[in-house]
Amino acid sequence: MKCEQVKKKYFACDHNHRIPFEVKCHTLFCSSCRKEIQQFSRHLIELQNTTPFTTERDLHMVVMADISRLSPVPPSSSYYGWIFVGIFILASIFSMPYSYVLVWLEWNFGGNLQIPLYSIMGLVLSIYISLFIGIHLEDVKRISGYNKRDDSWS
Amino acid sequence: MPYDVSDEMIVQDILAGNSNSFIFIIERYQQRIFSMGMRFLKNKDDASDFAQEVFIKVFENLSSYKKKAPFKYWMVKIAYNHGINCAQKKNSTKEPLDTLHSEAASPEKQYIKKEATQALLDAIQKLPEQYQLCVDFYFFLGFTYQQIQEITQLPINTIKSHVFRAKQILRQELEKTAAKEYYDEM
Repeated sequence: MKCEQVKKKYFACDHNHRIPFEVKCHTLFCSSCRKEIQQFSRHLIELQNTTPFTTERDLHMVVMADISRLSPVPPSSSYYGWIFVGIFILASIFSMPYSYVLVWLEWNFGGNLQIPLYSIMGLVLSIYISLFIGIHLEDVKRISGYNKRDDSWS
Repeated sequence: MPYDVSDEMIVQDILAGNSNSFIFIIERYQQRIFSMGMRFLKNKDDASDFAQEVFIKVFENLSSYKKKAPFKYWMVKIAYNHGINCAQKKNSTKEPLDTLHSEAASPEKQYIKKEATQALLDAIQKLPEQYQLCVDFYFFLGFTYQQIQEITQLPINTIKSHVFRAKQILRQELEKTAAKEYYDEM
């Protein structure tokens, strides 16, 4: 393949395209094409770190001032997954006395198993609730009416 | 906020109630959105106002961002649609290209010191006007042909030929300039 054809093929590639096999093969043996392609790809990377125009005006202050006047963006997080898992844990605790598993455990490990088992389930539930609050702290604060500015509850 | 934090993570933080994190989005994209404004409106003040309006629009619509596409793409799409509306409203007479260049060149020269990079920018500036926005999207934002097609609604083959032509011009320009020497030294 001639050098010009190789370059044409290379220039036709998109960002997410792999360099065609024939181009790779050609550049293995043709140092000038290899050099030019390397130079050009460096230029492409360089270009992504710059812009055709620059403004000296700092938009931060103006935009942030405008944004502070707007109502805050509503949280997009969905609680369905958390609610579903929470219900599942609660249902497990309440349905335990009726399950065959408890009967089997009591049969094998004795009758005093209920208290430690309920303690473990309670612990699991507590950890789960703590995790939920920890992850959604901002939402919990907002829902519960905690005022960040004067560090008080409203 | 560190630079390796993705746009999507910043958006998540904003949506969780920390509106102040939006400053990082402005920091990352203000020059790019301003550049888009320059392409549409050809005036620095209008382009600054355009960028301001785009950021406010983006903030207002942030809850509708579904994370299916990169945030950058979603934001540029909003900016492009707003740019078309602004350009239609302005309905301005086309300013000569020289005015645009002289306006753009001076801050650019302050900002970019490397001769090689300047050569690249000059090459782009010399492209015909209709090529410039597609070429900006491709080179400065790293969008693919498909993404540019989705934003501009231009035929993909036209975009490909524009970018291809731009690449050829760039290549020719780079061969002529000191940029080649710059990279040879590396």
